[in-house]
Order: sequence, then structure tokens, then C-alpha cells
Amino acid sequence: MLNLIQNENMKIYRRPRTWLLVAIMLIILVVHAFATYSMVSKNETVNPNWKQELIEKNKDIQNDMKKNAALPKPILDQMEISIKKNEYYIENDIAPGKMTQWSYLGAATEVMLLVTIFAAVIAGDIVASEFSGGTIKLLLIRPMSRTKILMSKYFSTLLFGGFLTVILAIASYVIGGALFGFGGADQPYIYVSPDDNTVHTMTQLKNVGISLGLQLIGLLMIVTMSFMISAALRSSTMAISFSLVAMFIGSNLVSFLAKFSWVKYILFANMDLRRYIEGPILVEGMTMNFSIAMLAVYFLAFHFFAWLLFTKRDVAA
Amino acid sequence: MDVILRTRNLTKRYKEHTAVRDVSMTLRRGDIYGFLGQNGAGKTTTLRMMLGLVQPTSGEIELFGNKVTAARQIPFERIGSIIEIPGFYPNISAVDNLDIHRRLMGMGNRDSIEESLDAVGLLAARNHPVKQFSLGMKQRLGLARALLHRPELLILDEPTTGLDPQGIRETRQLILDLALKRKITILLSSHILSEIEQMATQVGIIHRGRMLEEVPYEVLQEKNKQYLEIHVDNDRKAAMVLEQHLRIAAYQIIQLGVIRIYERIEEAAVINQQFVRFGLAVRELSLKRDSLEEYFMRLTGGRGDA
Repeated sequence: MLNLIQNENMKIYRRPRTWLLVAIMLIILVVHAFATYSMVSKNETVNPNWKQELIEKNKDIQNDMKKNAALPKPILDQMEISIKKNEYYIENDIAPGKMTQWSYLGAATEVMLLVTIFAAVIAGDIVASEFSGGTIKLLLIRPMSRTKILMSKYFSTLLFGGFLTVILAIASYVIGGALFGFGGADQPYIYVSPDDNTVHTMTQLKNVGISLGLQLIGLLMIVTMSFMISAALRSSTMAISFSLVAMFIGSNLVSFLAKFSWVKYILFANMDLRRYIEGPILVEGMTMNFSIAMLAVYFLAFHFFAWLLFTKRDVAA
Repeated sequence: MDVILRTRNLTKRYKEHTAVRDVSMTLRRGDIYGFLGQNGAGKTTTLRMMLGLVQPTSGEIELFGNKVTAARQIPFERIGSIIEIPGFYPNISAVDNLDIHRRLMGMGNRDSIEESLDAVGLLAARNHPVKQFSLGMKQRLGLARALLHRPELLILDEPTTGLDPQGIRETRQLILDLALKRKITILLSSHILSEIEQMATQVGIIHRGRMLEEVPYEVLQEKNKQYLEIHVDNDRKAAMVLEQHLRIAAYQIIQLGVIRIYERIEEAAVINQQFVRFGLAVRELSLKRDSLEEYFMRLTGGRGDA
């Protein structure tokens, strides 16, 4: 098994494309960091009357909510959450948008979306390319079982995802420290809990940890889906495009379909576990445990189909 | 002699057509088996079934004396193969491509990599990425990979596809060397008979999924030896003359007035003289030979290089 993973790693890291993905991720991270930096510094200089501005902002949101009462409930909920957060800033005299290294890291976890996409690209390619390159026969006419070969490919993909995550973590820590000064891990992070509809705080450190963990769960699901499509349909194009569509359209789609209760059984309705910490809840009655159970079901189903179609089908390539 | 590979009534049916129908073949240790058939005759599908890449619809495969019913029962460590154009990882060097194979086979030491690269004459190019290789080099690298784990049986599907005449000659020499020096049993498919001529010890001809003939190479040659073709006015009388006065039994009246004689063909003058003596009018007398290629084409009813 270790031998097989070693083989797969060799195939991944000897391709120039892999390093191109790493480079693209780092470039986007730097752009994202400077964009964040410039936005924050503008806020601080231009806006000494931030309290007044927040009050105005809340009025605007309230008007919007009245005008657009027909919007799906999760979107209206999101607006309400913004109002509550702004009120909290005013009451406790905390100027919002003041960035520290750790609040930047919280924002940088969004770059994990890119890691997910790139890991999905590798996952979508790792089985399908053996078919298009005619090398699949070589893998299968060996004493190793097809199941082991499939597993080694899956683990290698996850290792690649982990590798990108580690690079991202190190790079964003350094960039964040350089731009905003090191520190800020124990500063409060403000959020509205959907359990009691009031504002809570946690440390920035905890928030970064939770964000990273949730992003990794999302990565695991998307990569597994891409891998399944790659193994089942033997087409990397299909696997990669399906994953991208799923990532970008999936979550919006379920927001708009939120009035139907069957939406809660769709994968994308369950992918964003952050909803259970900061709201808004997508469909009344959905809980964190429900979503985790749904994710587990999808995860196992993906693996089952990948395994079934990879091990049982004839190889004519 | 022990049987290395045997199939019994091997069949692969797809929805619309049957690719392979009741193919039975036997390879004994030391055979160089030429598996002949036009493109699409079912050669590759048959070989894929032997390697567990395609699941047979029915029939049996026996490898090294054991029946194989699932891919995992195939003793892959005793078999080397190239199925169609060998695939490689283009960004990885020749040595590392073989190293991937070595790990897949669960082999410990790396010495055999250099050895087999040497055997196919690629030692100098060993650190070049495979994307720089010509088709001929890739075929040879494929052979090196197939030989890496010292197999007892080598299954080669059209090993000379895409090679120039020089490459074909070299590959043939290499295969012969392997069979003689390493005593490897070889199953070799081709759609061109001349490719396996002077090489095969056993020949199987497949056409439209069916095995038409499976014979030792000499038998095939025997069928195609030279003969005298004589056109006479009275074939019965000519037959009488052949049997009673010339004591020739190996002849055939193939059509009215046309006789083929398979023995004493070097004595054409004597035969002619006797015919004339008995008042037969000989219109034409010629020495002929069917090439194997013609024979193969006749058997498969089409152009051999289709």
C-alpha cells in the first residue's frame, strides 16, 4: 500500500501542472491579503464616525428587508444577523473591521475554497487520466487488487489536499503577520448563534480553528465526489466541471430552494456546517447532527459507487 | 510438455455483437505462439480476458495448470505483457516508469531495472522523460517493463505496430533471443502473417471471433509447399499415368483439367515426357507456391493487411 501511494505521489508531483496549482494558490493568497489590507486601512482613515455609519447601515438593511420580504428566509436571516452584529459593535464600542493577524487568518480560510478546487482537479484526474493515457492496464495486470489501487489513489489525493493546506497555513500566517503585525489570537470574534438569536464571542484562534476544520470537511466531500466521478465515468473533464458547478452553484441553489423541506436531503444543503454556529439555518428543523449524518451517507455512497464501478467494469482502454 | 496457458470455449458477448466465440487455444512451455487475425477479429479481446481486464461471458482460462475465474487469481508475477500501445507516465523518466512497475509487482531490488533496459538497448536514455521517446523506443521500453519481473509467459499484442522495418527486425530478434536464452513462452498477436513467420512455433488463426485453425507452424508450412500445376486435356488419364508409371500419389485434381502434383516436383521434364508419351496434350506446366500470406488471406476471406 505504501508503495502504491509512493507511486501515485510520484505521478502527481512530477507533473508541472501540480506546481502551477501551488503557484496560483500562493498568488491568489497574496492578492487576497493585499485586497483585505487596503480595504481595512481605508476604513480606519476615512471613517472616524463609524458608530453613526453603522446606525445608517442598519436602517438601510431594515428598509431592504421590508422591501424584499419575499426573499428566501435564509437570506433575510442573514440580514438580521448583520443588524445584530452591528448593534453589538455600537453597544460595546468595538470598531469593526480592525484587522489583526488572526482576524485576517479567519478571512484567509476562505482561500481554502481554492485548495478544494485544486484538490478536486487532482481527484478528477487521478483515475480518469490512467484511462486516457492507456496506463490503466498496467495498474490492473499486477498482483495488487483493484481496491488497493483505488485506495492508494484516494489517499494520495487527500495527501495533496493536506499539502496545499499546510502551504496555505504557513503562507497566510507569514503574510498576515507581515501586514497586520503578529498576534491577536485571543481577540474576540463576534457571531450570532442561531440557538438563542443573540450575539456571542469566541477567540479568533478558536474561530480560525473552526473555519479551517469546516473547510476541510467541505474539501473532503468535494474531493470525494470528484474522485467518484473520475472513477465511475472515467472522465476528468466531467469530474472537474461537476465539482466546480457543485461548489459554486450548489450552495446558492439550495438557498433559493429552501422553502421546500426536501432540500435538506441535498448534499449542498448540508455542506456548510457553519450555519449551525453562526446561522442562518437553511430549513427549519435541520441540526448539526442531521447534516453530519447526511454528509456521512453521501461520503459512503460516493466511495461505494467509485469502488463498484472501478473494480467491476471491463477495461477496454 | 507442460501446458502454460489453455482456454476452453472462451466467449465474450457484447450487446450488439460477439467479439470472441468459443476460442480454445493451448500454449506449451517454450512455444512462440503466433496469434493471427485481421484487425477486429477478436485478438485483443481474447488477450484482455487472459489478463483479467475483460470478464469473459463464458468459457475457461487455465494459467500454469490452474483454472482462473477472477482477475485476482491470475498469477501476474509470472506473466509479462504489452497490450496495444504501451502506456507510460510522460513526465517521468524511463527508469522511474519501470520503478513504478517494480513497486506494483512488489519487487524488492532495483538491479533488474538496469538489466532490462540494457536488454532492449535503452540504457543510455534511461534518465530521459518518456515524452521524449519515439514510438519505437516506447515499444522497447514496454518490452523492458514486461520483462522486468522475469516472467515465464510473455503476452505481446501487436508488438511491432508503428515500427519501421528496422524496428520490426530488431524486435523480432529480441523476442527470439528471449525465447531461446530465457526460455520464455511467448504469445504474440499480429494481423500480418509475415511478422510471425520464421519465429512462431505454433500458429492460431482467429477470424470474426472464431478460431479457424490452430496448428504447429510446420504443418502450416506443409500446406503451402511448392507444387507443379499441369493443365492437360484429360485429367483421368493423367492421373492414371501419374500413379502407374511415375508412382506419384501426392497429387490433386483441383478442377477439370488441372492437376497439382506435390512430389518429385523437380522432375517436371520427366513428368511432361511421360504425359506426352501417353498422348496427353499438356497446355501448361508451372511450378507454383502459395505464400502463407495468400493462405491466410484465403482462410480469412479478405485482405491480410486490412
